[in-house]
Amino acid sequence: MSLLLKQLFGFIKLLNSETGHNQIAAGIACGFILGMTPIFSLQSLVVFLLIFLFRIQAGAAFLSAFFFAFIAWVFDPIFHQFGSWFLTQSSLQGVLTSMYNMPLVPLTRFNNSVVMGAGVVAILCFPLVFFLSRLLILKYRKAVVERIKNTKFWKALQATSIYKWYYSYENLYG
Amino acid sequence: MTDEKKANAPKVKKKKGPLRLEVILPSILILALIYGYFFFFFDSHLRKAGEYALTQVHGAEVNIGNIQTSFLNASLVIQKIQITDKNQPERDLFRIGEVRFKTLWDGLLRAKVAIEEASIKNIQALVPRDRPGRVLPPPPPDGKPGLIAKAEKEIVDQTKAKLQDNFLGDILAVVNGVDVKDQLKSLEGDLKASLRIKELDAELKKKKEEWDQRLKSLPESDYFKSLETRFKALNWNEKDPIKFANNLQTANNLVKEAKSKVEEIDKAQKDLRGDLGNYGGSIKDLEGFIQQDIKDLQKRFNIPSIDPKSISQQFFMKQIEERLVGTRKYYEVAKKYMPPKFKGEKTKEPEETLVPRKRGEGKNFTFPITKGYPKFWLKKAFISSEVSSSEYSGNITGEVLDVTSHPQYLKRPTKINISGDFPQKAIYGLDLKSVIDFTTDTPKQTVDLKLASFPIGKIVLSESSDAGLAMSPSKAALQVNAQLTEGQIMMDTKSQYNEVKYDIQAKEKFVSDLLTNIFTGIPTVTLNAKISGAWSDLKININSNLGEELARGFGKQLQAKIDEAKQRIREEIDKQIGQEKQKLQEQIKGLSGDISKSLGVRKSEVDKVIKDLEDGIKKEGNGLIKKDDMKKLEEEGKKLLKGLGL
Repeated sequence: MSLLLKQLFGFIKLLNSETGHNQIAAGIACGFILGMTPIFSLQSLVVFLLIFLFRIQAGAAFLSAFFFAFIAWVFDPIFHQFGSWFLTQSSLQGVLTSMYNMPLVPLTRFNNSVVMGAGVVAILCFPLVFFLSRLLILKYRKAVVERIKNTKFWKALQATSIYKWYYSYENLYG
Repeated sequence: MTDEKKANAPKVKKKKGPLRLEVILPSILILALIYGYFFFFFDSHLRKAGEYALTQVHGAEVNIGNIQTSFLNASLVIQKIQITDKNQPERDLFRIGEVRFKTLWDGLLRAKVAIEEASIKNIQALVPRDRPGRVLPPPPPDGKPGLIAKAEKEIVDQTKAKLQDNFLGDILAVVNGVDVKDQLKSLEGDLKASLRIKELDAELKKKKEEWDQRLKSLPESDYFKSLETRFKALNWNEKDPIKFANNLQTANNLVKEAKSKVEEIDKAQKDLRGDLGNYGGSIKDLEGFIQQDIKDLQKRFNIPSIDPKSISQQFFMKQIEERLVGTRKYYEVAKKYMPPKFKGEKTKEPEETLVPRKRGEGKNFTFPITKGYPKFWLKKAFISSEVSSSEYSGNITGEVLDVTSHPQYLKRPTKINISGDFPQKAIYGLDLKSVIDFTTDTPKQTVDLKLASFPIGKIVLSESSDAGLAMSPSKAALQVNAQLTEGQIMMDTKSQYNEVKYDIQAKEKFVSDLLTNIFTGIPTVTLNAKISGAWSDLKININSNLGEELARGFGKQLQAKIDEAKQRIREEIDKQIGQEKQKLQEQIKGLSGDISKSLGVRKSEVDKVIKDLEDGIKKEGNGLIKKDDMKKLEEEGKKLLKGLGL
């Protein structure tokens, strides 16, 4: 829980900072894939590794995974239907059979109707989620953060010793 | 730039790249910790988890001596597995020295477990434990019989129906003489033949009433007289040709009417013959009811059949029942773990519940396996064991081939071949060959088991207050060939009990002497049984030389007594139902006589009337219509037509 809270605070801090909108957007998009995947499988592991190795905002990823998991739960029956339809397409049988017999690929559990349905939707919507969240972050920063920074209250707060102390602490320990 | 200026200049943060290079060191540390865990602790934790899980499944303590896993070799070695006997916790049901598995990485990367070679070494049975094993409390009964209990009951019900309690006692009772006379006196109401006679009597009475009604509806003498009167009333001296023709027509109508009555009488006679035929058949069928009564009473008075087959069945049904129950239990347990019967077999859709569904259940689609492995495939497992100091150890060799989750893909049935001896337990010549074939749409399992020699305890053949018989062979041999196909069993079992000693107990000395004389000359007992059919309807055929010898030993004397008892039953039944039967036959005879006579009389009367009428018409017609009259009649007719302008 404390890890999730730490990630949440980190996410809010990053959201309000001047840099890192791509990191946050990538985090949300990766979290979208994690949230959509119903069970732990190979693709989840790959996404975790990506979050770990690249500068993708982990807090944003875990928060969005938590959020999208609820949405996916609601849409599971649709994913099941779509996945079943996809897995039974006669034109895809050759490819799917080859995948089923390949090493490692079966570990993705692609032959499960919900995994396949949600997976296809997640991959197709991944760029959309990335760019949409990036756009929203930029707009948020311009419309909300900038406006707050120009308020008298914020300027007054910046002049206080507590803020100066916090600012120095932030510069020193990040 | 001065130093002061340098110090006041804002710090420019170094731009970080897309990779988190700072995680390399922690990652190495984490990986080292994981490696350390797997190297030092994983095996012992797996052993403890395995012990716990197996104990829960088995219901009694299961111990594992050691587990060694190897990630790179994808292998697993389990040593010293001890499975506590639930009924006697101070000993192990089985003890396995070592189990070794080695899976293929190629298979694991495809999420398949393909075990190239496995070995199960040093199997021992019923070995005393160092300390008693822990037995878990049994789960609370749910009040409903379990699947295995149901299956066992299905077998026991069938074998019980074929068994006669106190079989030997019944035979000896017959030897002493059976008096069925007194017992039969009060049986009249229970005899099926008697009940049938009463039914027939009631039917006959009803039929007689019907026939009386029908006879009333048939014409009687008054009616025939009226026909003659109506004929005589016709004026045959009539000169008017039209009126004469009318008279002739009326006379012909009278004949027709009389003939229609003849048809009615003929039909009634035919129906009567049919009814009488039916009753004749019913009287003959009574013999079948009498035979059934004799059988029922034979059973009721415990008069045994002493043919060799019946004796063998009565003596050895319990042994066969045990084998059948064992096979059925194996079948029910194994059924749970068998692959699906047919390709594309549909499983029942789960019922909807109010519990929120879990994520990710969906449906798993399977695709043809073109290369690679089935989900699980144990290619070959060697089984071996050598005699050790333990008296329960043995020289066992064997192999298990092609255990798989997809036999239809592999096209290889699972084969189990085990052979060996347990010298310290005097068990020799164990040879087990089993084929579990799910490669076709009709699953088939065959078991061929041979045991050349094994010690056997006391076998109770018959037990009652009057007499008891048990045999104690020093050793026995067994051969079982069984085939299971979709709920059908075909089992052929042959047993031989050697150096048999008999334990005969009887109240009366002459009985004891008789049995001792018979059994002294039978040192070897054979038991052959063939069982076939569905589990719910088994055909059991048991043969034993003991049955033959016993039937021969009791000899003609006993058979004569049994025949005499049967004859007495027959006589008593005849006596009890004889009067009723005779009365019934008389009633049928009476019905036949009275009605036949009445119908015959009426038939002759109506025949006479028809003859008289036809003779009258002939006579009157020929006498009165002459050629001149005919001419006159013709001319008058022509005049009439002219007058009408035609």
